[in-house]
Amino acid sequence: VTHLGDAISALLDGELSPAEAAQADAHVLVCAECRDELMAIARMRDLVRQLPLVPVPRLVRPAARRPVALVAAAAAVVALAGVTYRPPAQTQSPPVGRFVQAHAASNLGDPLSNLAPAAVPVGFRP
Amino acid sequence: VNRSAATVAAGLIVLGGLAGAVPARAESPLDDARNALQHHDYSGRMTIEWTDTGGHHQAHVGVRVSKGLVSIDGPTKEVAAGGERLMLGDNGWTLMWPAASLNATPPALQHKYAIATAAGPVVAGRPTRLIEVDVGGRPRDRLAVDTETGVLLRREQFDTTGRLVRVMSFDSIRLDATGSASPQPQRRDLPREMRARQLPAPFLAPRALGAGYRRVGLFRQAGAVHVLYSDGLYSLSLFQQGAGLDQRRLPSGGRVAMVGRSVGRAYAWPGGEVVTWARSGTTYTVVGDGPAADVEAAAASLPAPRRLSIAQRVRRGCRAMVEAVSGLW
Repeated sequence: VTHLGDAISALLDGELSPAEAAQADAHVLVCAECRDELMAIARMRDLVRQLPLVPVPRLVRPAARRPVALVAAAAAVVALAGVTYRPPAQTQSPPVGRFVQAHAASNLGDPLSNLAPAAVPVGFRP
Repeated sequence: VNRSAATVAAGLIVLGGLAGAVPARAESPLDDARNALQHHDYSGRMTIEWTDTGGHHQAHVGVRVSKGLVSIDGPTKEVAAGGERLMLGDNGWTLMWPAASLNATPPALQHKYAIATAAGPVVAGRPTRLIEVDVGGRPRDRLAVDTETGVLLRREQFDTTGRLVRVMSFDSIRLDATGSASPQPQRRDLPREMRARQLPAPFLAPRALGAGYRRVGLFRQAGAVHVLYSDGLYSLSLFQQGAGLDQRRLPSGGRVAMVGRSVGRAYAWPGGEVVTWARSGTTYTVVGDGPAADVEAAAASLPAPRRLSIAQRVRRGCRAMVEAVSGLW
């Protein structure tokens, strides 16, 4: 199964071509994982958009107002990007043989029954 | 000890015949076998048989038990010394499990299984007592223990349909093994115990899984979160890694296994079954020594992964952005 990944953000932003958007829509209909992800991102965007605008307090001196606002804006951008940004999907291959050895070494049950089969390695190699 | 366990224990003592040489009966026949290792020295040759999609397989290992120290001499060499487990690899002996025992107690065997005893076959020239472990009238495990010593001489394991899938049996045995010292480990690859409340999302450690498995331990090990379960007779390990599964790099062989709505891969090993699959960016691998159907039922019962909190998503996103930007230089 190939999930939409970064295409979810592109779909929400209307950046996909009509054909791509139709394909993504069709996938979302049948893939609960991508549908959940799409709804989560959409909800998050709505929440951020609904945040009220907060005026800079008058106590802040005019000279300092601009840098503070810039820092606050930068922090907000970083936070928003952090929430919505999807890092490239990392994949791996589990070390099956290593996991089997770790399981066999756990000291539940009878040591003979646990260790004797684990002394016969099988080819858990990609 | 509940009443049924006491009845079983009493029955085992009566049927034991030469029970004078056998230590006090425990709740599980495997506990009896474990106790016998502490009280009898012996050596022998054992055959292990199992079946998988590639057919029927057979392998032989040497076994030596002396003063409670169990040495297995097969293609891989392994030692059990008290609670410790050591394995010999390319870089010498590695300590794989510490002496400290688990905090949680495995569930009683009787919560899932029924036990019956009978006269057993002669194994490696020695008379045995047969302990049959059943579920719903179908055999799951047959243990033939030496009537004189209580040593486990043969073990037959069945799948949930009653088909024999694994056999471990002594071909020869001598009750006079000479002593040997526990090897000194050159490396340590030990599990680090964790508490369930310390577990970050998306990892899971349910108290119970399908097929009657209950959680008995939670560790960080081999670059994964390792949750250990028991159903009273068999144990099951759930390993979780925080990345998706690259199906192309999985070991060859095995068979396709559906775990809920996820497509996974199942493999047989001489002692049981392995199932690996991924869901929502987390890879799960379950290793069990029980029947394949039970291992897969336990895997399928795992709930959906916990969602990352907003703070975790911000942290993950920021880290990924920094990594992406730093990679440009």
